Formats: sequence, C-alpha cells, structure tokens
Amino acid sequence: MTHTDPHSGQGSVAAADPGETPKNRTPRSDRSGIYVRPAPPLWSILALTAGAAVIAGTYLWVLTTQPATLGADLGHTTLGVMVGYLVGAALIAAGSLPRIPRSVLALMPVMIALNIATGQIVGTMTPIPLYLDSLGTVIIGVIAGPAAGALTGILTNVIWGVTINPTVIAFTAGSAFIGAAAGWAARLGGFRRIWWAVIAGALAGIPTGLIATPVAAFIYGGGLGVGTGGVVAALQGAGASMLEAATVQGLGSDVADKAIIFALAFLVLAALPSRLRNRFPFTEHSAVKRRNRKTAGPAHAAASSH
Amino acid sequence: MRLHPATELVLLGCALLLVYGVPSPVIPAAVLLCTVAGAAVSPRVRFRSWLLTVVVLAGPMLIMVGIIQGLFYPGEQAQVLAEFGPAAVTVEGLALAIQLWLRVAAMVAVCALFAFGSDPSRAFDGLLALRLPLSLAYVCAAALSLIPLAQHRVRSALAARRARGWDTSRFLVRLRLLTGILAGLLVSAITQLDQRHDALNQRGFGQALRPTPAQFYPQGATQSGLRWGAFVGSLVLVGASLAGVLPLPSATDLLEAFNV
Repeated sequence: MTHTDPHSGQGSVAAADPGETPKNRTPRSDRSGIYVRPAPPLWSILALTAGAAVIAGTYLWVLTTQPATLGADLGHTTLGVMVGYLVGAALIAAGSLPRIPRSVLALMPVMIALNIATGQIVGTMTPIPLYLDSLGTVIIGVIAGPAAGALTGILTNVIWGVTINPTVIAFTAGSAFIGAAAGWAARLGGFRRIWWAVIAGALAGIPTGLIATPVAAFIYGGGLGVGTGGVVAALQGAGASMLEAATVQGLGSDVADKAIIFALAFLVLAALPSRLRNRFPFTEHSAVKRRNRKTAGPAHAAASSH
Repeated sequence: MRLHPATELVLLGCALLLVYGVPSPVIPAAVLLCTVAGAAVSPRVRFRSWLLTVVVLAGPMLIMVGIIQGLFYPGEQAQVLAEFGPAAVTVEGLALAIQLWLRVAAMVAVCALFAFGSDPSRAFDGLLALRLPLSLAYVCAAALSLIPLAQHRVRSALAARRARGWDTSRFLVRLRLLTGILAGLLVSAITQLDQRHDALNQRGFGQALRPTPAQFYPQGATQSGLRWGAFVGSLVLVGASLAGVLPLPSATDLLEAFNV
C-alpha cells in the first residue's frame, strides 16, 4: 500500500483498488505531473454510440408507430420496448467498462446498495410520487465521470431487478442516462453551487422522464408506485391516453426527483473531507465555490447534522 | 438435484423473455404456477417467506393497476360494465389490468425464488461461468452482500441520532438528517476501500482470468443442455409468437370463450 500522508493515520491517499495496486500502474503523466489515463479503445466509443442510438431509436419507434393506449391484447409493444432498452443499456455498459478506474469499481457496490435501499422504500412503498433511487448513481457520476455513472445506473437496476423488484429492469436505460448526465453536469461545473446542481438535476430529469415513459405506459400501465400511479389514474380519468398520462407524470416526477437527488448529492459531496475528495481526480470539476467562511452554507449545514 | 448458478441465471432470463415476449396471458400464468410449485418443493426456500415477499411486492401493483386501468381505462371503444362518475369499469381495462399484473407477479415470483435460493457467492460464480467480466461480477456480487449492510448502517445511524434527542419518527426530521447519514455512509465506504483492496489483493483477486469457484456445483452435459435448451426454446417461442404461428389464446379469445 502506498502512503503519502504520514500524519493522517487513515490509510492511503492514492486511489487503491481491487486487483490493481497504484505501484503497478503504468506511469503516464502530463507536464504538470497529473496522472493521465490511457485513451479508451475505439470499440468502446462505438458501443456507447450504438447503445445510445438503439435507445433513441426504440423511443422514436414507440412514439411514431405504436398506439397511445394499449388494447385488451397486449401485442408486441412491450417486447420491443424491453429488448430495445435492454440491448441499448448492455451496449452502454460494455462501452463504459474500459473507461472506469478500478478504484471506482470498488466503490460502486456501496452506491448500488444505497440506490436499492432508498429506491425500494421511497419509490414503491410510500405515497410520495418520487423515486429517490439514483442518489448513489449521481454521486458516482460526479466523483468519477459519466461512464462510471452510467454503469452504476445500469447495474443498480439489473441487480435490484433480479433480487428484489423485477419491475425496475425495464427502466435501466433511464438510469444509465441519469448517471451519465450527472457526470456531464459535473464536468460543466454544475456541482460548484447548490442552485446550479438543482437546475442541472431538473434539466436532466426531462430526458430521463421521456425515456421512462414507454416503459411506464406500455409495460406497467402506469401502475407501479402508489404515488406515481395515483397521478396517472387522475390524468387518465381527465381524458388523457396511456402514453400522455405516463408522459406528464414521468416528466413531473423525474424533474422534481432529479432536482432533489442532485441537491442531495451536492450536499453529501460538500460534506466530504477534502482528503477523500482528492482521491477522485474528477471531483476537481466540482470544487465548491465559497465566497467566505460565513456563507459556506451547504458544507456546514451538512456537517452540522452529523 | 440443485442447479448450477449459471443455469439459474439463464432460466431467470428466459422467464423474463417469455413473460414479456409472448402476449398471451397463458404464459405468465404458467410461469407463476411453475414458480409456486418450485417454491413449494424447494428445500432451500421457505414457502411462507417467499409468498409474503410476492404478496408485498406484487400486491400494491394489483391495486394500482386495477384502479388505473380497471376504473380509468382511456380506450375509446371500451365495453362499459359499470359507471361511477368519471370512473368506469370496462372489460378492456380489466383485461389489461389483469394481464399487466400477471406479468409483474410472475416476474416477482421468479426473481424472489432466485433471490431466496441464492447468495452473493453463488451469483458471483454463476456470472463468471456466463463469461461476464471479472470486475462486473465482483460489483454485482459485492452489491448483493452490501444491501443488508447498508440498511443496517442507516438504521444504526438513525438510532444514534434518536439517542441524541432527534424525533426520527417524523418524516421531515428524517429528511433533515439524511444528508449527514449519507455523507457518513460515503466516508466510511471510501475509507474502507483500502481494507477491501488489501483483502482482495491477498486473495489474489484479478490474478486469474477465471478463478476457481468457491463451491462445488453440478456440471456436465445436463446443466449445459438445460441452459442451451431453455435459451433456444424461449427464442423459438418468442419468434413463433412474433410470426403469429404460436397457437396460444390471446386475451380477446379468452374473453370470447367466457362470453364477455
């Protein structure tokens, strides 16, 4: 184990990861001495592009060719949505894997467990029309980049699906998007102030809601959670089609949900000690801007609640 | 005879494909019945626990989809059975609600059977046998083992705050405490990375591309044949359904048979 801070007594400052020690890593540095990861292979770019294209194509296919309301016979719309979204997510997972440092892979299980624990309680068992199942995904996206965020989202839904709640498997593509969006927002500086994080989350919630709409409407008939299902019932009662009701509910819930999640992720990351943040170079994009110590609200607020 | 974990995973995937790939309500009903029988005879699954899980997870969906589609079905040419103001019980809505719920109930039942009969170690070996990359198999297996640990830590953190005078039974108080609890969870996870790294290094993780399985599993032509047979059979059934040559009744056929 390498150790660069002899006074902390809390282990290695450098990222340590399963199956790979920092001392064995090939030293590649830029002029300022910062470690530079090798460029990802071409096939990973192709896989990511193909995955995104398959998901977008599936969404457009549903929108342009399928009826807005299912009949008594379910037909093959559900199969098309399920296969298109899962194949797209699998391609994105395959393309993401070579871009992720192993130190982040070791952190992923904890964040996946966090996603599942909060999502199962809030999303399906309470009357709140929110999900709160992507906090860990967003945190990984902010500290390790869009590829890691996307992979965390995909693995969360697959593991959650095969063990506790199989209904979430079909929402894998939306989870991948929110993880990637968190990474993109962080790269653009969206996690430097809490209001920027809230706005970034609300904006990321729009495509996430749209991606999830065909799944909610055609695979589950809008009736998954108690809170979200109530909204869909009210909208259908007001005369909306299945797709319209699911779209309005999805957009409303996802925009609010992702704004809350991004704000929570900001507060959690602001409360992290700098020493731990420094283990993940991508967090340099999210260095919190503080005018002075008196107005350093989020970090102090979070820390005071310990 | 107990199945190889890879065979269990393949059967799980095939069930998912069949339930969502064939639109006839007969398939999810058959999968549900097979799973009930499997849970009843399995020596590793406590039937009452399994049944309770299925009821808790699929029950709310039955109620919600029953309300949404059973009372507020938005189709224009629907046969109305009864009207209650803006709500109307329709044949099409009820048929749709029952089919959607049957699919979800079948999948919940299958996944619960898998979850009750498996553990992270078996899942890890199964994923490796299916040629999943070692790092992905590690993440999946570790996440499975950490779900109860994360719940335990959150409960402990809440208990500690309750001891300090916080009224944690109130939702707003819990929301206020959430950031601190999650930050603590994240800090402990990151600081434990070193320990996990050392433990995995000492066990030689990553040295062998295909590590030796932790347990003995039944291998051979039977397991392999079962995996390939289930996979090819499911594909054939879904292909036949897509081509319209699968002789299974649709929901409309069943409704006509019952003169509805």
